[in-house]
Amino acid sequence: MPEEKLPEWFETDFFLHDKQQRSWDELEVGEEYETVPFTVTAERIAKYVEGTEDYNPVFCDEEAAKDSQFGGIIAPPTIVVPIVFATTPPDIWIKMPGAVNPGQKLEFGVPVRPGDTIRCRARLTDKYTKRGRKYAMGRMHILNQRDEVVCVWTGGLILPR
Amino acid sequence: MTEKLRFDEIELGYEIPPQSKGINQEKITRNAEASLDYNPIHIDPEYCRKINLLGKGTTIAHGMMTLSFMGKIVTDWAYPAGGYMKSLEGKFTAPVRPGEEITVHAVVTEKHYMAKNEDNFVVLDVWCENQDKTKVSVGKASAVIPH
Repeated sequence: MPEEKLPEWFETDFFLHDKQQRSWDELEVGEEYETVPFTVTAERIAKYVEGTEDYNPVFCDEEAAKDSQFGGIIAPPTIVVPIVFATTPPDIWIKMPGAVNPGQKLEFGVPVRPGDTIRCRARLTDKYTKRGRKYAMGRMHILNQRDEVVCVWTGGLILPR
Repeated sequence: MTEKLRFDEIELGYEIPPQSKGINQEKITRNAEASLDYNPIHIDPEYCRKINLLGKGTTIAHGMMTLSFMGKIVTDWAYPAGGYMKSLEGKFTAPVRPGEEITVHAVVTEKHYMAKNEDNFVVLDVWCENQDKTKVSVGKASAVIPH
């Protein structure tokens, strides 16, 4: 089983890369970026299950999962969002400190299984202002190592500048 | 052993039994570590006091933590039936703070009948309320339930 490897620039200090960020005004609709591929280990799934208190047997009980419609352990579907967030380069708008999460939409494809490598192609699809706030919206295609669609995530952020 | 839920038997307006969770800083921090999101607005009470975050100066839980609760109520219901969650969306309408009690609700609002009954699915309104009955998130989910 491959080991978890975070991108070399990954930092728990949220503000470290703040200066690399462009403002909302500088973002251009249509611009694209890719995340760094990330291997989802059994340990990461177990941690996420614990962190979200979602102990469904198909996420954490090998035997029960084997007998389920999934035929083995899968990750909780929402795990894709934090993985994409963590593996998005620090100069991309979704990493802007102070951004507010107004809501997100996830359409799921194949489940994530231990050992899968997840990557994401994303595009800024819209930016708009509403009630004095600056919104940036994106569409993220999340794929596994077999190029199967794991999730299409649409949503955005209210940016602070 | 109880019989498996079937698409046929689901009635519009059915409410999945609500699920409640107490939120505290330890849980928020554990979720930050699990989801690799160390934004200080979630994990640093001192920082939040200093900037008086959202007028109350406390940390707030990750929106995605709330969305994961909204997913859980659906998968807890759909997976034992042999189904799966097709989609999940949520808007975060109020912050969730340590010390709050969050209750997740889900009600079936639509039934979709597909060709040959393959991949029939339901749509659910899903939302979370805090202990004051304030909605902290509203959204929808869809789940395929075998015929």
